[in-house]
Amino acid sequence: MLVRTNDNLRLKFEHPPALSAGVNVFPVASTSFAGEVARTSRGAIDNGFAAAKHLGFYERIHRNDARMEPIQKLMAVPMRAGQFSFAVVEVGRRGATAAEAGPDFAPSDLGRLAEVCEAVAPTLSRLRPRIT
Amino acid sequence: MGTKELAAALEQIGAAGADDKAWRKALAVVAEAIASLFGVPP
Repeated sequence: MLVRTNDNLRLKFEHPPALSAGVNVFPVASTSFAGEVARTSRGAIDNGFAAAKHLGFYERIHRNDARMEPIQKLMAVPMRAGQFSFAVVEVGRRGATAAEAGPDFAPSDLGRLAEVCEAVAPTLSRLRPRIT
Repeated sequence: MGTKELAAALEQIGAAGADDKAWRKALAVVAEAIASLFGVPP
């Protein structure tokens, strides 16, 4: 999960804990999957994520663990407080190949993820700490 | 865990205190629930 920094201009990984340590931050305005979801406040699916150009930041996610395979498929939805997207929740499927990663994410998956995020957003928004 | 149960669990965490510990715990609970829903690691 990525959360907007206090100035609302950047996104920072807050979960999993291994990624929240250090400076795992990038501008919301950057060309990135999560950045676009935050900017547009709309969910997205990329079932060809491993083949697409993306921030080197994402490569670090699996370099933290040599055994971990690359993210092949990714979906993300905004977490909103009112109309404002204060966080982005990403769910990925990993594998050596797209086929090994499992089934493609479908629009119905995005809907289920959005439903969960909508339910927990009020509490998470209230608990959200100042992130610089 | 269903969506309503998850929301209730988070409210319980939030009611106990709004500090960094509660924030981290809430994130972990949400991540577990979402990972379980889609069959991926949290």
